Amino acid sequence: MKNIFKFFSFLTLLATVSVVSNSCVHDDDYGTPPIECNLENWVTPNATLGDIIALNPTSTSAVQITIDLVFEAYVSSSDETGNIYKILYIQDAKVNPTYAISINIDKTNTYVDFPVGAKVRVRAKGLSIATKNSTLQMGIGGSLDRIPQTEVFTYVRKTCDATDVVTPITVTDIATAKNNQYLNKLIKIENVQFAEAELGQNYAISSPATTINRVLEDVSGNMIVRNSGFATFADVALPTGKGTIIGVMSKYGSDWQLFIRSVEDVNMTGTRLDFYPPKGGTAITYSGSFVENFESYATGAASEAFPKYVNDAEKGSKYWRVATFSSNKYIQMSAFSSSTAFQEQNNRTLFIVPIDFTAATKLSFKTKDGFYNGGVLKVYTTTNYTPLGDVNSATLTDITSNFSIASGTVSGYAANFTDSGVYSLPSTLMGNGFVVFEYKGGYSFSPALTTTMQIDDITVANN
Amino acid sequence: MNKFLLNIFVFVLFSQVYMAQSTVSAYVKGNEGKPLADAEVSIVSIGKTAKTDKVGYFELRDVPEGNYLLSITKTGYTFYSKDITVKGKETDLGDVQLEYNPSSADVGIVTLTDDELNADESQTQSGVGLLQASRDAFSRASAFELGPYWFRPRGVDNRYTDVLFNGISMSKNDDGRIDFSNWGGLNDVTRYPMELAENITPSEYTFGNLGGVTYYNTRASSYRKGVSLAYSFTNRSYFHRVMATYNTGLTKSGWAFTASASRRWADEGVIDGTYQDSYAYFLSLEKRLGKNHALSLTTFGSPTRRASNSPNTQEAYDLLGKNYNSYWGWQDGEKRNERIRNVFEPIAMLTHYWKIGKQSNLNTTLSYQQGSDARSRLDWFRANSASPTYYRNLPSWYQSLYSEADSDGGTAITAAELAIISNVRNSWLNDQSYSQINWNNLYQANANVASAGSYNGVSYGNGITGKRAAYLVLEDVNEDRTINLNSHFDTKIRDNWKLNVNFNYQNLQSDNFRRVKDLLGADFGLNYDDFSAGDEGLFDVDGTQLAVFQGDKIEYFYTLNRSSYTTNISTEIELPRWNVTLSALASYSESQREGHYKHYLYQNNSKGKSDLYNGWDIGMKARIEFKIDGKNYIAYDGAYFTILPSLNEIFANPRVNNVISPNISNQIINSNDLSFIHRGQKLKLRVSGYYNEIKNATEIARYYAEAGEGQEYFVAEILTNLAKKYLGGEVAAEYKITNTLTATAVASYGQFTINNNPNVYLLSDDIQGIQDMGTAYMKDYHVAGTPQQAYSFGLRYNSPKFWWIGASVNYLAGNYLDISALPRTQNFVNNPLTGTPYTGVTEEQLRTLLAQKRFDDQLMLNANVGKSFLIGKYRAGISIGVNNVLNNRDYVTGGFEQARYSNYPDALLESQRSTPLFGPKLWYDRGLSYFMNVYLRF
Repeated sequence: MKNIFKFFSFLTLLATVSVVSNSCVHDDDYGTPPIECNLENWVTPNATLGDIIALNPTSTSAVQITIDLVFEAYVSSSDETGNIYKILYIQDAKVNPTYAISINIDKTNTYVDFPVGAKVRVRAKGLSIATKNSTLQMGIGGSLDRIPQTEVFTYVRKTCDATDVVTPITVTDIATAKNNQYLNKLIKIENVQFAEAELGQNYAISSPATTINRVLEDVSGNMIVRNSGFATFADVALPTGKGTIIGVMSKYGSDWQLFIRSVEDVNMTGTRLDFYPPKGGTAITYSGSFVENFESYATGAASEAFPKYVNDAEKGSKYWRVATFSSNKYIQMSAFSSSTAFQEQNNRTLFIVPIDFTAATKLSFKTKDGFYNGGVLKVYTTTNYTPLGDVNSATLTDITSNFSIASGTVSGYAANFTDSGVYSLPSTLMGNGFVVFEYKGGYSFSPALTTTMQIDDITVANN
Repeated sequence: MNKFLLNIFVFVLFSQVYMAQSTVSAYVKGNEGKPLADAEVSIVSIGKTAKTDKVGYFELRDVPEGNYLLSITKTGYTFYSKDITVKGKETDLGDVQLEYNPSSADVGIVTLTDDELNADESQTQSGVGLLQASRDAFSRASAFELGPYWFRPRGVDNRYTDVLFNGISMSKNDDGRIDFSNWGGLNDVTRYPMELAENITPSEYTFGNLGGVTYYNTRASSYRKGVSLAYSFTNRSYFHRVMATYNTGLTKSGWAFTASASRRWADEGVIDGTYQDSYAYFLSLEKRLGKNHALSLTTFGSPTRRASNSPNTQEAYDLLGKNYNSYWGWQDGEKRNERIRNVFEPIAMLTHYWKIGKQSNLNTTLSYQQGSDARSRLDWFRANSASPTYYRNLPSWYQSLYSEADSDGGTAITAAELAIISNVRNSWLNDQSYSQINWNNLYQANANVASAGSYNGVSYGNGITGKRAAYLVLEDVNEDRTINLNSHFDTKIRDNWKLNVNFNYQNLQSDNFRRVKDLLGADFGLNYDDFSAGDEGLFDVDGTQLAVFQGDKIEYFYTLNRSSYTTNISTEIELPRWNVTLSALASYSESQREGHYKHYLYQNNSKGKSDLYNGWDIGMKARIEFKIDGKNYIAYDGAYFTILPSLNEIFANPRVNNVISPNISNQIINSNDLSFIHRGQKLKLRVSGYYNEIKNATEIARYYAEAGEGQEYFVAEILTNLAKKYLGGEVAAEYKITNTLTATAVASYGQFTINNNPNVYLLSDDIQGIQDMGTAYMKDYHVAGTPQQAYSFGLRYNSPKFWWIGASVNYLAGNYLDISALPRTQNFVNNPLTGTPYTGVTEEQLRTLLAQKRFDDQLMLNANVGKSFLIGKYRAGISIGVNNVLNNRDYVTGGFEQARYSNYPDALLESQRSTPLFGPKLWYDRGLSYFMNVYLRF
């Protein structure tokens, strides 16, 4: 009985404890607070970005804004990846802006304060404006210093408007984009690609952080895409295709450059533009017996398009072309260039000759080398090449070892052409096909492979 | 077992005539030899109980011959327990004296062990070992007077202390440390340990360590019968405590049941933005099975939530006071704290008690513990630090920025710059949206992140699009599952020769991972390293999706497994003038990590099982007591043993890979102490000298280092082959000036130093490989974490009318800042680019720059008062204890150097700043604290 009494006392106490427990401690259960936004007590816009720029549209000496001008603009840049760093690009409209400018701020990760597409209100009084390093900028003092971190919200605040899409201005091509009217604006260029020399590399180098200019090209020309070594995508591989790029247009001195915000701004998955496409090939005929001594062709650049043959600069920009020496014409190819500006890393140029393999039985030609620094010529047969198509998708059979090819003339040119010797085409080789003369060299080889190779008297016989 | 202190009485029972049943009797007396009536006497194991009569006499009849534990309880007196041998027809124990100590039972110690839980950041603060009320004046003063000021006797860290429940060790395998929160609030059932072995004194139940053994037995029948209710009001990390305990006592049918529950809570503790909410329960059921067997089932746990407080630099304290806490910020009218610890690790134990014959016992316990310990923190992804104390948010940063860098106006501070510095200072002083976490800004930032389907070209996976978090709250979670099997066998080979054999098997599986706790309005977080500069920063390369939602794992996930087999044999021989105890240890354990994430930087050694790390521990302990005469003793304790590295030490950076710390080995402990003890009627005195050595220690400091602006990465700094030396003396005297007035004087003078130059290695989440930083020149630096010298003088008046009052003066000295190893390496002096010393380095300057900070000595006053009542069958008591009566807020209880400037030019520049940018982070004493307690028992 006594125990039961005690037990009930205990239970009563437990109940009391439970009641007391309702004096609850933080439950750590927090909802998302409503985002309160009120800029009405701050400043009211009384100007436009255009008005501000009109105060100092072109001069490189800074003009400090001393009257209380307030304008609104849209953020087009983002420092989320760190490629754009301590700079905020704003423009006066979401679509087709007229004016755009950059503001220098001493704060990182501002994309969470001023996201892309946000409308911001800028209190310009106290800031200075000038053209610095070829672009219009705002900042503090005569040298447009960054706004100190603690002062950023004194000058710039996000408005209560919902973040919207900033539509980049679509620019036809790179040549058109290189125009002051696009500076500081978000633009989009279609049908562009990274230059062949850039392929296989990353946007930049993260360790040690190295900022790198990558060359962007299209039919109209090329420009720089500038990538920071501190960008999160520094070690991401450049895309190899052709497509679209979005970025903020800028200029440093006379260099036009584009800043992408992230790799999501780059969409280059299409087939690359071949700036040095196969030439000639307009009158392909398959014959089992002929001799080509090139005497019927003109010399120089005009000769690169051989109607009966295909001349393909598969890598690099150089083609086989007709040359003449001692009244004899032949074709010639060399990777050599005396001007470093025109030296190419890789040259692979193909001279493709159609043959009726069913009829033909023998093949021979002559070669002459000059300034020899290594073998550059190979000979192949193929039966599944489509004229003017992609030679890399054709099956090539290497027959080089069946020929004698000129070599060893280190200085100047060989005195005479070397006969290749007569090669009997295998009887299994049937139907229409091609013999491919491949020149492969360039300055990426070590040492550079720049031997000059001449070919003459390509002879196909059927006896 | 602290045989000496308990063994005050010598029994002469050997000559009794053999009889099967015996009557045990004694006279129980209080101070001044007054008889104590109504004391409860029991031999728990056979369920015999009795009460003393008016002359203090009791009899326990029909006790079979054998060895028993006799216990006597009486309100207002220290719990008494004693091993007795029952033999012959009459067992007369003579006079048994109980110590009058009305305060010891109900105040105090809880405040200490609870505050220890606050130390989530660094080991500096969490080092205080478990101190229990004991009969030794020194231990008592350490616990009640000096303990609240982070004094650790002999400088011994928590990890060298053992607490056992029914033979099951409560030390965590991860770090070897004891988590007191597992039984926090269960003071009613953990008030009287069954055994309390101090320092290296051999225990009967385990080999023990350097810092003593506390052994709790949770048999329901061993608790006081009845109901106990208590309420406490305090101003520590919690404000209120309610406790209720009920015990049936042993029923005639052989059952006994004990239940205890408590809650401790505060909506806001003394430190700003902290709170605590802890519940605790304890259930123990016992059933006697015949004369020789008993089964006991115990389960207890303490679900706890508490918010932490930050250590701060002096600059932050100077701006906002000693209660400043950078971990909270306003949200929705509440102080929201980012660092919440949520821990609940319940344990269940089944114990079998088996009395084998008359001389032997075999007690076996099987236990299982499973629980979760989660600690939250704010994290950010491609965003700036959310911490208000991030160095670039403080006035000192702007001061240095404008005076050192070539800003506008060169190094002179311009008016505009001065205005900025002053604005920052004003924001700190007046604007809590600046000086505390600005939660609204974090939500706003997340709302501003663009909705997307990929990051750095890596798809979020499974077609997920949305806003990834820039800020989110994550939890570091530890989920342990521990099985223990423990057997304790004891027997008397002869009447004066006792043998104990202990065996323990332990198996631990410990899951460790990080979990998304709150996305702060974002749609998901990314399981991706924002530090990586490519498209390969996947924390789990094999994972199918980058986006992780609330409750999902993120960043790391691994399991640690450990199995240990431990045997311990001890023996005790009592001779007329000598008492010798020997204890030996042999232990084997194997440990393994199993990674569940394939980390992008460590694809070959992050996922799957690591190499097995196994090893042996061996050890010997000895205690020799020599009785000079009935009042004077000399005791020597010696120990030599090894300690296998803990899991956290074996695996250098377990969050990311299976790498085992280089150059790691067992710690070797060598400890000696010699004491002279005098126990007179009036004076009790102990004088001890000790010399402890720890060799081959491994210490790993893990912290966030900064790279660039706001980018943080996790670093493990490993010290191996570290040696420490602890040398010192203790004097404790208790003198009864009158029968009611007692004076206690305690002095502890220690010198705890690092005794060699250890090796340093660095590992990081974001940099591959182990960097060998060479030797750290740390010899003769002081060990941090405790005042090395402490003195206490107290007076206590114990009125015969059941009230008491006491006060003490305490002086704490020689507390040092925890030093960082990196600045003590060659890298500090040598320019890595040239390999030669930086220009201008002189030895004198090095000494100044690298000197260890010694905190100021402090004087602290404590006072306490209390009274107990007897109203019929109801016993009640009230007590108030006050620590730091003078509200001294200048006492630094601990601190550590920020491993920031680890080269000479930077450190020199830092030393010249009026306010350092990376000054040490400090904890201060919380000032006056009180603990008021009322209880009722019936």
